[in-house]
Amino acid sequence: MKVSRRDMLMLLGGGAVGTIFSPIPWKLLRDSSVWTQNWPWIPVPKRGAAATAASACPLCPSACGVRVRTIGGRPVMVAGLPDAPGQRGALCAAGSGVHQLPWHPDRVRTPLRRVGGGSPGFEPASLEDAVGAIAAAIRETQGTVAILDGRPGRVLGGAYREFLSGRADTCVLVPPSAVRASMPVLRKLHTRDPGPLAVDLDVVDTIVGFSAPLLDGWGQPGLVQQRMHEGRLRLFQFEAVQSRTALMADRWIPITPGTERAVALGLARMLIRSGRVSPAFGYADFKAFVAAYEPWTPRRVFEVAGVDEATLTEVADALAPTGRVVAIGGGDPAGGPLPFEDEASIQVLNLLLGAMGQAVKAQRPLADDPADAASDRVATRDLCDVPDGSVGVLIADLAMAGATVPWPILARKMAPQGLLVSLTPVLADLALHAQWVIPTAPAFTAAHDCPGHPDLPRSLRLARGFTPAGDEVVDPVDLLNRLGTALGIERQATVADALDDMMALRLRALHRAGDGTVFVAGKDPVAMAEIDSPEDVLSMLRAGGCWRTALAAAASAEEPAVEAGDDQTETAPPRPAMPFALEQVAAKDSGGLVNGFQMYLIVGGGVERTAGVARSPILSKVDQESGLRPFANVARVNPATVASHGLRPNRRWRVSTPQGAITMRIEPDPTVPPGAILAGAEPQGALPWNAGNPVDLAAPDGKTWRLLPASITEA
Amino acid sequence: MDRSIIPRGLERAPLGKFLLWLLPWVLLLGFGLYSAYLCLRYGLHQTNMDNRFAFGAWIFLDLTVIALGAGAFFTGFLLYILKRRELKAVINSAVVIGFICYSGAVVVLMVDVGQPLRAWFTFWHPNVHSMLTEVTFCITCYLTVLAIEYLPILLKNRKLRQIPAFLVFEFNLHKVMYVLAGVGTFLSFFHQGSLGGLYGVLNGRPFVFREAFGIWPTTFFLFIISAAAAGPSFMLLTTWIASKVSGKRLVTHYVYESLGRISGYILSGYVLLKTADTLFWIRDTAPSLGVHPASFFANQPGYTALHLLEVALFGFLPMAIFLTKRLRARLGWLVTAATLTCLGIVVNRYVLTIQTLALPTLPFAEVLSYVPSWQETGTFLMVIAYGMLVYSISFRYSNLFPQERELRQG
Amino acid sequence: MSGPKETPQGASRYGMVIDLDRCNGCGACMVACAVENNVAPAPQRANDRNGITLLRVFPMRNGRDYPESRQVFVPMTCQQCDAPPCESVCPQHAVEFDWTTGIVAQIPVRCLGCRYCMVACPYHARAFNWWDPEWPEGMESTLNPDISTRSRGVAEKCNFCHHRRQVARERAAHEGREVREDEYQPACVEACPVGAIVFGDLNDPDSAVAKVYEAPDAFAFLDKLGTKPKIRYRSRQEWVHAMARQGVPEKEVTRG
Repeated sequence: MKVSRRDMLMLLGGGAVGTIFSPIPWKLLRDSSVWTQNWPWIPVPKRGAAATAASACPLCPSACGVRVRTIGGRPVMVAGLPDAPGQRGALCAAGSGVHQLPWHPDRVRTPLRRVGGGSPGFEPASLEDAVGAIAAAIRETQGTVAILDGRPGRVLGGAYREFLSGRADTCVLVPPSAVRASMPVLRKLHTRDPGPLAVDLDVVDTIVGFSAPLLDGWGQPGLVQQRMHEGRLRLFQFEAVQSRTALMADRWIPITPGTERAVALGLARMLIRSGRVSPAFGYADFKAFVAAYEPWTPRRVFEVAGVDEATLTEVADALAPTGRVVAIGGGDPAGGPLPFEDEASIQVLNLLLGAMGQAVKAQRPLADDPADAASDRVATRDLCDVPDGSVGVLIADLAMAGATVPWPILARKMAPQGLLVSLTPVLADLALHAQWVIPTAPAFTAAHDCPGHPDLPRSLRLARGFTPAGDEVVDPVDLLNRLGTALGIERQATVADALDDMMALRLRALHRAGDGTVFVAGKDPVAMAEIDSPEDVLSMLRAGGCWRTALAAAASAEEPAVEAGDDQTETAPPRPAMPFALEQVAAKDSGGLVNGFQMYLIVGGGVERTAGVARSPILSKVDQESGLRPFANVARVNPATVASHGLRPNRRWRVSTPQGAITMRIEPDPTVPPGAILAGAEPQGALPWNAGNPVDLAAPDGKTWRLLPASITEA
Repeated sequence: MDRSIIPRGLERAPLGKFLLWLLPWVLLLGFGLYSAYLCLRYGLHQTNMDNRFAFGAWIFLDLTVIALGAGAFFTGFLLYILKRRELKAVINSAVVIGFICYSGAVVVLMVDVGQPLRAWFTFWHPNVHSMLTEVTFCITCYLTVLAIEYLPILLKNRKLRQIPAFLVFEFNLHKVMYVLAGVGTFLSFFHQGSLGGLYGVLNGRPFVFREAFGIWPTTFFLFIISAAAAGPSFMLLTTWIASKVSGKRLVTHYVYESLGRISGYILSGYVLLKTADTLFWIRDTAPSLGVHPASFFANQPGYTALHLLEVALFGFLPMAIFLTKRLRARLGWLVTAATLTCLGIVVNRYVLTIQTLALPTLPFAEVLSYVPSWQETGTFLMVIAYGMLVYSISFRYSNLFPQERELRQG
Repeated sequence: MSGPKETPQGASRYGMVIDLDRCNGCGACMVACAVENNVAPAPQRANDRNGITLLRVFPMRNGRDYPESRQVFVPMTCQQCDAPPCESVCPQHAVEFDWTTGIVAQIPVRCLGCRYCMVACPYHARAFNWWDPEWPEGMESTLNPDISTRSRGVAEKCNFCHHRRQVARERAAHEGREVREDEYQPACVEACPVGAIVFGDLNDPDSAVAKVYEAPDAFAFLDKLGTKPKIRYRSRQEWVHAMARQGVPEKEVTRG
């Protein structure tokens, strides 16, 4: 049969029409809608039994209580624990993503050895090799062997001390803190050493904040803000930048950057002259004290800090020496501490206001705490106080630090051939400079003890492990044990084999002391003395409970302030005329604008941007995807400065300090004072767009880096 | 070589020269196809559009080519319904241009939507309240009509005419051409209007929102009128360009003049209505939405200038040229005015698409702008290359301008 | 455009009041929202214009320079309009207004990705999936099973964590009782550390939100557009109200 062209066309045409009336096209259409919903590369959430567990957020010293929603045992959501003391159910953005950290893209999964010279490169290595190399370095070094404990107060700290006590020339290092540094000032003004102090925010009714990020990272922002809204707390904030805290404060008083001390001194003078000094303040040579403050006239304060007399008087008049008024400095956790002089001036203000013993109380020491073990044999030192080039081997544990350690400062402390070992769950920040990186358990994979902020009443929570950490994770105690064996160090009886055992030891000590109260969500608080056994304490803490020391009771017994009358009669030891040289507190250029550096770089970022606080990638919502908290590559500059310096926002700019430079984008921001550059710290160095961490522009010999002389040039 | 398929009585450039002319367009098309592939394969992050600039260069392109392609429907309307016989000289060209514009727009739309495989949902779950449903139905139907209208032009080719079935089919098509023209005119009018309505109904965007006549906002009608004004101008312009590129006289001056005059009349109506509409918007519409109209232009010198340009330089000026008999007699003036008219429609569609999205509605949001990515630009250029290729090939192998043969002999 | 129709008897009408004087812009709500709704972290090239933030906190400034500058943080999300401009424009019913709750829902599996709804929304509250969602390896196990993930090429937006209402209703039905107000709260409300967001049924005069909804210092953004939003904001600062009433565009920002 011959097929004609016509037949062919009819066949094709008929076939086409017929197909439309067949189920084929409709089935295809239907399927296409199914395909487009279920692409194989789009993950499908796993199902499972839903449950809720209480735990704690281990990321930073705020140690917030959290409620964890689990599906089949896997955490899928974290929220604040509503009944928790302290934070009252508040949880920050970083805490809201803490359950995702076990899958952080930069997670360290095996010990890493540094290879090559300049750019950071690592290769996987065995734990045996790591122990061998570190032990050899400890054996051979001429310098100090130190452990940098970013979160002092954990039981792990006890293990660190115990390990170091087996050797001469060792110390535990802690991140720089001016609050701690200013304690000697108080010691000099008192006959008795008050010991570590804590601010009791539940007692305070007025806070004078000196650039303290009270609502954005310091201590317990949730508590502060809720008390403010209840009308039980007033906040006067002296700060150069119109920060979130400044915005929410009852009164924000803008000051020239870096002049906190001038304001504090001026306020002190006003209090002295108006006779509103707490009777509890009894300085021996009061006349000399008053004379030292005399030069800080309102006029001088105005010249230095830009705060006029009327405003200063207004604040001073609102401050009554009731003991419920407290001045707080502290500095931004990421931006670093205030200079010592600022902090000391603030502490003197607290003395004058009678806050000592009322709003500010002595921490009661915890007897037999394994964390304090061997503290008499191993010194604890501020990183900045260690001689340059003296540290031969440094084991850095900054996980959950909630503080910043600039690399230039650390690098300067290291001996020329010094070995830096980083214990970290995530390869970021200082770990990128280490010779050895040891993988530790990320948040939510292992139980962590979460001690509270060192400047707040001592507290303890337990963070639970929800997700198996994986075999590759190294328990720091195990590492120390292996190192001890390699070095032939005699083991102390109190050293446990693992963190869990250490925790049991601590709970036993806590229970024995019988101090404080345990709060469990939805239940009445129970005094520690009424709890039967350490095991009961453990189960309460595991259920999301929080132990908190009974500070109020401790205060009356251990009143650190000395009555004025007593002080007169007592044969006091000879003291210097002034606690510190007020003369050092110079004019506003004391920050040191040096040749060519015409501006200030102010580093901020809050607790979320501190070293060791690993952030879940979902935090991209608040930085990368919204700019709500700009990255380190964004320099925020006052619009007037942008105009006067010709800083075009669509260009790239180099922000330089004497230490180095970072390329940034300019963003006009009227909340930044003219002449200043505000940048967020960015410790997660693996971010692809990250040019560097502004914190690393700190001067290597500095003790503070919150205000750096800087300049901007076009990149 | 291809002599046998070139229409009898027409002179065409040697094949080699023609292929050389096609080469850059083929390369551009290739680049465009690659760009479109990237967008389809990897997703729309290949573009620089974003959540605020949810519509970008592509939607601007769609609106513009469809407005310019209006020459197709409007010429058909004038020829078949209003019996303007002289336009028979450009009707074939108009149909080809209409087909190019509409099919190009559909292709780009398929790249533009995030889930092209779900495009048929609109027919399955249509939301009759949506202007976009109207647009989708119109564009699909009208593209079908255009394809049918395009067929006879192809089928007239002498090789294809050798197949008797095609000849019969073509003959029958000619008989229904009036029906098709009528349907096409309706669909196309409606489609233009729906595109205008697309923006005019957005009560969330005070910058484009317009009061409605019946269910259609004024932009519905303004779009129809502006497209009707620009269509003949674009026909004039393309005919002139084809004539320049091919080096041949394609139509008589009377046809040019006629197109210009029609453009001019409609343009005058458009300018009047547009002005009235803008004034009403300034006086009533915008303030009723809680916005001071001046706020749209504060710190916006570029956009303000565009508005003035659109009405004055691209509206009044070409209108004046078209309606002045002395100027109309000169082809140079006609081409100038046609160019200005087409630019006017480009600016109008640009303002509607881009400025609408650039302007924030929330008091704390910023004025944004965006630059298309190379993938976006590539896909954009793909349509232009596609148009040039289809038009060039159609021009070479079919008799787009019936007067060409007479003018050559005469 | 569809206006509010007759609501069924006993229907809820969920709404929200956000106190701008309390919000300090910490961003916890944004993270909680993303976690709850299975939104993926940003791809490397994402930025503040093409990321997926169903809830986004914008700083709103008073336009004056330091030290007279003031700002509030405005958590901006779908305003759950009673007359949603996005609903009427969708060509294929991928946006649905639920008359029993007043919630405007986006149905991602029906969405074609034309983005007309995003153009229509005056609150810039909708986000488009410019990328396929991608989590770091293993992080899929933290996804919430109550809500599916979305593929690239579709629009999405806040739906007041509607799935939480389903879960709460199922539990309540199982126990043979009504849903308590605190049982159904969106993730952002739960996450706000300062309690700046109040959420509940506006039809219930005893609900916490109904009591503050008509407070003298409460206002809605762009209320003259006729969208009838069910999210209102509060502030005691006069300039905030002035800004909300009429804002003038700032300078232009280019990115490409």
